[in-house]
Amino acid sequence: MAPNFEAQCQKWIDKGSVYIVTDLEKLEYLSSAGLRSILLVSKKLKAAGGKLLFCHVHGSVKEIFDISGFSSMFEFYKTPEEALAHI
Amino acid sequence: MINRLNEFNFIPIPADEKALETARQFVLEQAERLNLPAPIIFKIELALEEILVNVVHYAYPPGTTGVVDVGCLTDEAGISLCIADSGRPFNPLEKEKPDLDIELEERQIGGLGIFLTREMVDAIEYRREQDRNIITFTIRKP
Repeated sequence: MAPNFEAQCQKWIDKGSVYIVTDLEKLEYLSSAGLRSILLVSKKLKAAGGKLLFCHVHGSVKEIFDISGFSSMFEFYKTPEEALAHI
Repeated sequence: MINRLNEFNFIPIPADEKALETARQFVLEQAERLNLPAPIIFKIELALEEILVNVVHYAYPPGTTGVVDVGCLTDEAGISLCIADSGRPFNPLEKEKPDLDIELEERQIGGLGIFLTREMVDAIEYRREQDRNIITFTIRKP
């Protein structure tokens, strides 16, 4: 999953996207490999003047965001629409 | 737990990029007997991945494929896993805790795996014995 996420985001970044909203509603698993991808993508977007936003972060995945300190580094929204309103 | 290794059910797995999927299936089959809730399964999967991926990447010299033994013990208390390799001595528990309070720009890529594992498990130990790295960890039933 993590390599797919990274590759897809890279495609969008190559096309000039600077904001990416990631909907994690269906994500039930996240390890350090996923955090690594999130961090890489986020650094690239920030360097381009944009950012990575999240919505629907829940359950154990949210716990991983919390204990890794990622919760304080990103913006979280309930829905993609709400996230889009903040870019 | 390290004293009860003779009670574990082990399978040898080639320490390559397919090792995680093989180990995951083996462990989840054993865990099924305990009827564990999803958050506990999550913890098992995460700890297994982080420890195993470390072994696959670092235990054996590049270009060689060693073997990693994955063991499982389920009892009324919960589930214990053992991951053992014959590679170079490496104790992942000696890794320093990453700095979690720094800004995104300074955050290092990686280094979080062992930290997350420690947060997920109820007990974890490392032992170097007969030229093997042996890691055991336990996740208790809720």
